[in-house]
Amino acid sequence: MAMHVLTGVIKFIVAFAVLGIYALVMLWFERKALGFFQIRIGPKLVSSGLEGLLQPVADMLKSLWKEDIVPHRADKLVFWVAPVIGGMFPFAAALAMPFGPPIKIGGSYFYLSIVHVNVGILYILAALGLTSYSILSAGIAAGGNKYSLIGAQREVAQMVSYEVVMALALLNPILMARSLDLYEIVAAQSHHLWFVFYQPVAFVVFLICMFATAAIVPFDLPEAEQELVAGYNTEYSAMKMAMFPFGQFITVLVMSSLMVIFFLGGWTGPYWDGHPWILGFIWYWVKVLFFVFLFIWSWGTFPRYRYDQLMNMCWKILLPISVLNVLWTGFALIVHLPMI
Amino acid sequence: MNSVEETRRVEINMGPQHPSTHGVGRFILTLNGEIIEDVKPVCGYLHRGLEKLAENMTYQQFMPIVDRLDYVASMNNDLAYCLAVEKLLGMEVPERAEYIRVIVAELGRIASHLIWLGTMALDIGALTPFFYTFRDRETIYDMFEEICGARLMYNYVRIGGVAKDITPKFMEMLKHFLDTFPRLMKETDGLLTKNRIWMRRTKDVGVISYDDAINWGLSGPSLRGSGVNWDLRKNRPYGIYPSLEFDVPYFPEGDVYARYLVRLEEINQSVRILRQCVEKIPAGEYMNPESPFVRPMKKPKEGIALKDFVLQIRGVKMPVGEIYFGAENPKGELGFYIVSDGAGKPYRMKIRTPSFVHVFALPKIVKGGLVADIVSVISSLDFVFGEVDR
Repeated sequence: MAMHVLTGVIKFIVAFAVLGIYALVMLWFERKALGFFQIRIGPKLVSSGLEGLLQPVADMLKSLWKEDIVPHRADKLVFWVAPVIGGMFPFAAALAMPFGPPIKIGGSYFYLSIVHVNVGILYILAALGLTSYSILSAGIAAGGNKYSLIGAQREVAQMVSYEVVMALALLNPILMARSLDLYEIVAAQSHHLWFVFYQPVAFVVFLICMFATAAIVPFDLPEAEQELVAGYNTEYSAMKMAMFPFGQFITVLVMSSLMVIFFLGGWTGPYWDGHPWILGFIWYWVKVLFFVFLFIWSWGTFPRYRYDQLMNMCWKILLPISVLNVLWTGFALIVHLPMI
Repeated sequence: MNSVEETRRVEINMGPQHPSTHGVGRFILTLNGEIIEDVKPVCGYLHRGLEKLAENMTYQQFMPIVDRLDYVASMNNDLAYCLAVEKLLGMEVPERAEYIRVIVAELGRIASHLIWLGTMALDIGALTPFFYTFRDRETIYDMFEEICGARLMYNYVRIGGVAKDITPKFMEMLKHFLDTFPRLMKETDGLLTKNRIWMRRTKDVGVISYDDAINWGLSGPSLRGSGVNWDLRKNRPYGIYPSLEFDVPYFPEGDVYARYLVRLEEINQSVRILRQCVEKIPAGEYMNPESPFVRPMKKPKEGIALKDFVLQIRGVKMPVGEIYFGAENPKGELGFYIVSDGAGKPYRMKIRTPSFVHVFALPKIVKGGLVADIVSVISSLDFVFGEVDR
């Protein structure tokens, strides 16, 4: 028991450090990649020898020292809590996320996630769903700023639209793997083809929902800068404001890893049959980081949807498709059809 | 305060400091949820009293101020003003000067449309085209810098011609620009024109019908986006435009997408005009030597004569009369109505700016739309607040 607690604490500290460093590197990489798309250089002056790698550290220090303005009319408590939960819940979701293939020690497995729960996906979806509360409360608490309010309103509209569809899209791989455990789902794919080949429709639907969850262009409606100034975080400053992108980056990571685990076979890949552990680890992170890059790529490419268009798309197109897809999957499983 | 209905309305002050009002525009929106029920444009944040200033300045002194109207297309403003004053004087302009004027005006049109394209894409959420268009605009500004030293406020087109002759280096830059620009333009075009999201954000949004467009006095690309085939360069020709071949694009849909296509096509047509000008440009004078605004160079010893001093203070005597001249600017019809009582300064000058008209057509267009729509409509009408608030 004490052993469990100790490994748990160590895992937690390591994961916290890894995710923190990941967020900072991502911030740098995002700016560099956007700079590349937009024919400019990106951050360079801070640590010019490292191509500006330390720029996010400077940004963070700046955020720490900036004046933390709380609007006079704001609901102080909620105004404080919102960014905290905005950073906390994506992090909580990342707790159940695998960081690599399980390591076989003796006869048992050592799982590279902080908590290994056998309903991992339910936990992650719940934690990510709660993230919306941070945006909602940030918008409402901002002392009557109408831009914040509209941003919060849009977040709610967006959340109710994509959550259902996303869950339905994930239901197909779950049905096929007959498990809610992320490791089991990967294991199921190591015997067959990856689920993306069985479930191309669910893959595309989930791809769309992925962007909506992370509120990245083309679905960055709650903070649509050109319409709502900064949406829900208009009134935020200093470190409180920095918490929202931090949460967003973690969400991006969690969604990418879900994508890889559910549709692209997790750490399975060519030349890997379970034993060079490091190869599985590399496969996994190559795939995950590709999707993380896809987010940035989309950021530099697409215009933004209107929020009613997102709702129309989710409810009128994606939802019927997903429901039919789930029915088909269920039918195929019952009569033992080969799924392709 | 009688019912729930009353409290459901939200009033938002969009501007004067807002990322997408293109300057210091202020719009008071009345929202029902996100649906726009009413828009009140408020102007005056950039009012400088230019029309009144004109009454106390000689015609030439007013030139630099004309630059400050539509500050992203200063060359075109200069041209429109000079053409108006020349019309009052009945003055001829040498042919080379005419060609130079068309070259700079069309370059100015491309530069203005590039800013519009970048900011419109930015307003609809696409960040990247902004940088592509500003890269190309930069080359145009480099060219302007080469001919007149200024990058934004040129004061280059003068009454009777242009301030300086164009340099061989400028012609080289221009040829290089004409070779590379259409290819570079395809990058932006490829990112947006057939993009599904872009089309959904712009099609059937902010529709202006043919009749409305005329009745509200729209002009320029915004008018042509509603299917009206009206271009002052064709319909009220001036300069050497009649001798140049170009098409006037117009699209009947009247939505944001149609206005987008019109401006995109205008950029291509401007390139076409520029190509012809590069071929045809003759040698000769760049300024009418007969112009009363040109004074011969003096030797340093001669000093300043009283005559020159009086000319400087009172200005060149102009014929008595009233004229109106409208030129096709990137934003629309820029017109100068000048009343002259024979003095060296205008008795009254009225500036008809397209942006002013477009701003006040906005409420009728966006009513019933969403907040996201007003942003795309504002950028599709392409107004500049330097022009709205003279």
